Amino acid sequence: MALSAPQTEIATFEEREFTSERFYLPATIAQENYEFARNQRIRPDPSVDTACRHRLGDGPLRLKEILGKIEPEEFHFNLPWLPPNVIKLLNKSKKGPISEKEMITLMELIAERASEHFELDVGKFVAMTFHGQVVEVSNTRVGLLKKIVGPKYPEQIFVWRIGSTAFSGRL
Amino acid sequence: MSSDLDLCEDYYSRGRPIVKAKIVVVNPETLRQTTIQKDLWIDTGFDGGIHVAQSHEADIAMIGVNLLSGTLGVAGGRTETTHRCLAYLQQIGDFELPMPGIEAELIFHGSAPHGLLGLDILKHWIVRFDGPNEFFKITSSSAQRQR
Repeated sequence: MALSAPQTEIATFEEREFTSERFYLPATIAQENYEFARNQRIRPDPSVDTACRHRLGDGPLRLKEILGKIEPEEFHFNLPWLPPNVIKLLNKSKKGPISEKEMITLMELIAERASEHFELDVGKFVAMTFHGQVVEVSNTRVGLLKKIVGPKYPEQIFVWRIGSTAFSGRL
Repeated sequence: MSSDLDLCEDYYSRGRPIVKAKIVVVNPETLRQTTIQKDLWIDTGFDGGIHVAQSHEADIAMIGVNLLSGTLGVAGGRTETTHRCLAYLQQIGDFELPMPGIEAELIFHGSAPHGLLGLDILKHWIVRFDGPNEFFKITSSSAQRQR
C-alpha cells in the first residue's frame, strides 16, 4: 500500500541513527588504549620539579625572578620622551618662576614632542600637561575650551595648536 | 526680500571700527558669573575670539574660573604667553544675542584700553566696511542664524 513504508527502509534508518550515536566515542579498543596512554604521558609527574632553575654565583635563581627584574619600570606609554633641556626647564620652574621666553620654549618643545609621540594632526587644538600628557584634543579652539572648562586637572595644563607657534593671534 | 538681520552699524571711532560688547564668563561648577563690558576693535587680522586687557583676569579669579596657559601670536611675529578661558558674547552694539550667546575664546593680554573682536567671532556674521565713509555694518543672514 502507498501509506505503509517498506520494512527494509525502516531497518536502514535505525542503523544510521545507531551509527551517529557512536561517532563521539572511541571507535576501537586500540583507540581507547591510545587515549589512555596519551593522557598518562602528558600528566605532570609530581616528583619532577618543573620550575626552571638557573645558577648565578652561589645560590640558585628561578627564571621567574629573572623575568621580574628586566621589566621596565617608570615607563609610561601616555607620556612622550622629553629631552634633557625640557627636564632642566621643568625642574627650574618647580624651584621658582621662569622667564616668559623660557616658558614659551618649554611649551614649544613639549608640544613638539607630544605631537610627534601621539602623531597629532597639524591644526588640531590640544590641551596637555607640562609632562606632555595629552588631556583633550579638538578641531576648534572653542570646542577644546568647552571640553576643559569643567573638570579640574591635578596637573597644570596649557593649550596649543599643533603645527603653529601660538594658540591664536596674528598668525 | 532680504532675510538679513542687522545686528549693529556705526561710524568708526578714532578711525577704527569699534563696537560695544558684553562678554560673560561662567563658572560651570558654581554657576557664578562675571560680566565684562568693553569696546572691541573689529580686527580681521586676529584669528582668535575676544582679546581684552590682562587686568580683567582679576574679575575671572573672583568667580573661581581656572585660566589656561598658552601663547599668543602678536603683530610683528612675536609670541607671548597669555591666559584664556571660555566666554559667551551676549551683546554686540545694542543687539542682544540669543542666550547663552556666542561661545568664544577670551584672551587676557596686554594693557590696551580697547579689546579685539577676532575672526573666530566674525565668522558668524557678514561684516561690511565702508572705508571712505568710515562706516561699518554687521548683519546675520537667515542661513547663519539656523546653524
